[in-house]
Amino acid sequence: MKPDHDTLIAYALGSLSASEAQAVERELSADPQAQAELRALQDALAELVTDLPPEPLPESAERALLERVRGQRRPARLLWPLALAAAVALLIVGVNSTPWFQNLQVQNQVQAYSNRPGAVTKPLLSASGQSAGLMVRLGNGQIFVAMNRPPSRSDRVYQLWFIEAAGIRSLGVFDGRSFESARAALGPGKVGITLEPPGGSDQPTSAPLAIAEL
Amino acid sequence: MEESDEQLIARMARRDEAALAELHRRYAPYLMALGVRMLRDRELAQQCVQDAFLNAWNASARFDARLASAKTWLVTIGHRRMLNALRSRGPAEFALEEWDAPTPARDLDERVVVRRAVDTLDGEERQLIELAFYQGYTHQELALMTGKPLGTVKTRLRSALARLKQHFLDRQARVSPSGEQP
Repeated sequence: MKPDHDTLIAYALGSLSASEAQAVERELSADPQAQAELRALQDALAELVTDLPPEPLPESAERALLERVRGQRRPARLLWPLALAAAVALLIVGVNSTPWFQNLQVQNQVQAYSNRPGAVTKPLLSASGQSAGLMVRLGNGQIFVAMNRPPSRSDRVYQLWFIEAAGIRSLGVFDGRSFESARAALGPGKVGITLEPPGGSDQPTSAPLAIAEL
Repeated sequence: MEESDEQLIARMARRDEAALAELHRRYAPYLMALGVRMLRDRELAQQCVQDAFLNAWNASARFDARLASAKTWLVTIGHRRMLNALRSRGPAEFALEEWDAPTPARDLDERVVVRRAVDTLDGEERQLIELAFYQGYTHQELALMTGKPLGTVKTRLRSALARLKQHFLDRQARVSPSGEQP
């Protein structure tokens, strides 16, 4: 269904939730007229920014950016392990079918969550060791996941599971590329992602696409 | 003749760091202005500007000029990054009245050259754009904050965006054949 004009305005302003924005992006990808409408809105808002009095940056800003490009390392604090850096790269570039604005949305989400105090970021790996996405565990027990691609079947959703010695329980379902779980007391264990029917399942009905240790 | 922004992005896609540096020189001060306005924290704003340009570098191979101009693409990347930072951190203390004050009413006989897009908006429209675009409030939150019905908020935002779109089109139409802005 074509997003209405008010929804496109809200999307252009950045005031939709992640799931609402993802729903708009799915509709946009098949609607050139809506894409043109969105472009006109975004062009207009971009003028607001380039009309602002420019703020100077330190002379070192350009050099710092180029150093970061060359190292592709996190600013100031930590160096990401190779597997994690590769997972990030796949998130940024590797998905062919999703629009650029959706890729950037997920990328920005990953950066924002990873930068929170106490956040721990790990790759989500398949049984063959290939990257399927990223997981960020937040200090308050929430889990944020970003997958490299949306569910491969239109009649399936992703379901996030917490796997511990006592058993397995669902942390939620999502049909886009990213998801943030509710706060939960999670002890030692693993998180896994499966494909399930819409609405999710009581227990996994398929082998996990990817797993990460907490 | 100066290269276009789109040409710079094409060079960035071929891993040309000089093109990134040039794009940074052109637009980082505007993204910094956006960041300072949204986050009220120069250090965080500077970090977000760097993140935005890194995002642009990494995504340059997927830039499609049919979907967005380079300027719009880059500003959107920056705006989204700063909104994420704002929502992660929580908004700074922000008074409802603390927004770009309207210019005084002008003599209708006076010739006025509108230079800024925001000058085309009335006071109410400016306030809503400030709260929505720079502070990330939803339509529902705007209705609560301003005491206006949700339908009114949507109508006013529609008219604000219509004015901004027209201003953009008028400005594009005034670009001289040599490509220079008036």
